[in-house]
Amino acid sequence: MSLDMRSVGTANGVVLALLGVAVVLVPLAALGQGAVEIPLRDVVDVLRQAVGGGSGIDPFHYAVLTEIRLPRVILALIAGAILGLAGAMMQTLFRNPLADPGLIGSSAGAALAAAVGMILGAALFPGAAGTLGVWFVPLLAFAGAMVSMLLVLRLASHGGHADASHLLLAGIAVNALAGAGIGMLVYVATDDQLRNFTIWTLGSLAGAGWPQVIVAVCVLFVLLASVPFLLRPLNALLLGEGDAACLGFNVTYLKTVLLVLSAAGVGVVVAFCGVIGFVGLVVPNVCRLLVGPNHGALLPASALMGAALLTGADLTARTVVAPTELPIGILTALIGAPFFILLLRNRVRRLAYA
Amino acid sequence: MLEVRDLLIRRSGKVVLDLAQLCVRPGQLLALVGPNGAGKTTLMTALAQTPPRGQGEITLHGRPCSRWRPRELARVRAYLSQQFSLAAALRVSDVVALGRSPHVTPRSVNNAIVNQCLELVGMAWASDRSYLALSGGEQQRVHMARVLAQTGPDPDSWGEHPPLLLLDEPTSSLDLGKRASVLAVAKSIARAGGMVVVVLHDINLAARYADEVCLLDHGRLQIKGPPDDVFTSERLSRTYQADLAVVTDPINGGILVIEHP
Repeated sequence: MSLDMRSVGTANGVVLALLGVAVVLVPLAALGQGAVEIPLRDVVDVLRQAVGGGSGIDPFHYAVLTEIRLPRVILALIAGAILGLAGAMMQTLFRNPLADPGLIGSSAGAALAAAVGMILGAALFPGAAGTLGVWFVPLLAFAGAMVSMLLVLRLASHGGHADASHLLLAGIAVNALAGAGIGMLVYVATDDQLRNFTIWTLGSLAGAGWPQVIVAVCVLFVLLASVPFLLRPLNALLLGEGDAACLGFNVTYLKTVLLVLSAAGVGVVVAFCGVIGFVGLVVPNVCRLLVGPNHGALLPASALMGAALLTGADLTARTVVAPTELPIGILTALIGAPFFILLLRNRVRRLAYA
Repeated sequence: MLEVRDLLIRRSGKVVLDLAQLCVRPGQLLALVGPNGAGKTTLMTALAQTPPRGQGEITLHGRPCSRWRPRELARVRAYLSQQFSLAAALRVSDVVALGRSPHVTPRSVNNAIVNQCLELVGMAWASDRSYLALSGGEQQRVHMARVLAQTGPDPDSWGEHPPLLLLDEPTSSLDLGKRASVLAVAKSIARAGGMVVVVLHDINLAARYADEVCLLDHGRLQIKGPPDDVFTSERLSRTYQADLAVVTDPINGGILVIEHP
């Protein structure tokens, strides 16, 4: 492990430190802004109270912060970090910088499964929905993401290498399939379900609460805890599967682990925040330009940048058209789609794996 | 000691390699030569695979390769493939350091080995460069350094078993001077007690550096022996279907293969 961290040199250290500062400052701003403006002093007081200090806060501000904004901002941070990590892992797994949960259909697969849970869940598995509670939809979404990723991996790769065109074509197929499934569900949904469902599909953090935060923290924890063990194998995978195997790595096992981890990440994010496209694509690619492809720096940078970016995007989504909200998926697509076009056009040598 | 027995590899029903017996002893540099499609790379990948595919048995130091633990095997067996698919802007020293992955040696030891291996292939100057900024020949030498780092560049860094280096056309992108220096490094590993199997297209290089050569054709071993015995005008002309002559090198008295169409 130390072997790989070696390359986190001074320049990369500065980038990581700046991203770390962003991860502190953006949430502080996000906590204060919104339908109700709360001065920074109150925000800081509430945060201090949480750790045993601070006093004399406006009870209304206190309620807004602890009941609404704090869980929302924390969920945005976690979801962003998960999307950044999952994106970086998937890009190395597929050996292709265009791999993104949204583009290759894993978000759609997760969304289909989550939609089944939301619309038909109570009718289909009354027992499971009750016992699993807040875990029910994320578990379904995880299964959906897993199935769609296996499908894409099977369709797109030959000899362990997925070239961009096959990957995107397989993604289109899976997206279309999941879209059809979601369409059928929409057809049987009630008006109320339909409205909630539509907002959720476009991506929104409005449903954030403490129970969701707890589930998402667990998934992020698993991902982060696995990072130190994945640095070396991920770097070796850059050489190609054959060479990684010759270095003594169990490539089949490694690919399975990466698949399960990214599916779990995509699943939990889709279940709670809907389909948020392009974060998993843009963040790791920008980070690769900033800190290089060594996963010792790439994974922490992607997690930090994803967290800061999604929190910032959610802040924007809440404030630009206040008092209503823009779906966050629209915002990330506005930033991400042009970047994706740029990637496709250039297939920049520095970025391309293929 | 590397032993191959009854290796039979088919590709879409056709036999591409049929090798009854092959043995490489510590201290030996064995060159595989033969025309395109003779089965050289097929043999190399069979030797490098974990576990080997196809029929037959490949034994390293008395134990079948399939019975080694992958990581243990990776400490004594390294493979330089013909094509590289690395397309990430990793630092050159990080690429070479990947070769140390199977080992648990301390970081300072690894760093020293990485530097030593880059030195051996003449790429120490590029240690902090991006891999993608290098030319094809430079990239090939970086991978050679990675392979050397994997099993250790000198006997001090070896474990209980001497290493096996499998080099598939390690000189394909190199200029005349670099070809000689890379093969000299391979030769020094063999001299120190290691085993080196190298695929070479240039018969003169094989004649100069190999202790023994295997001439492969149509997936079969035609003959194995010292270069002087294997390389005859008649045999080479027949195998390569070209007019080739083996003459005496006017400078060192060795053999020299020339083309005379």
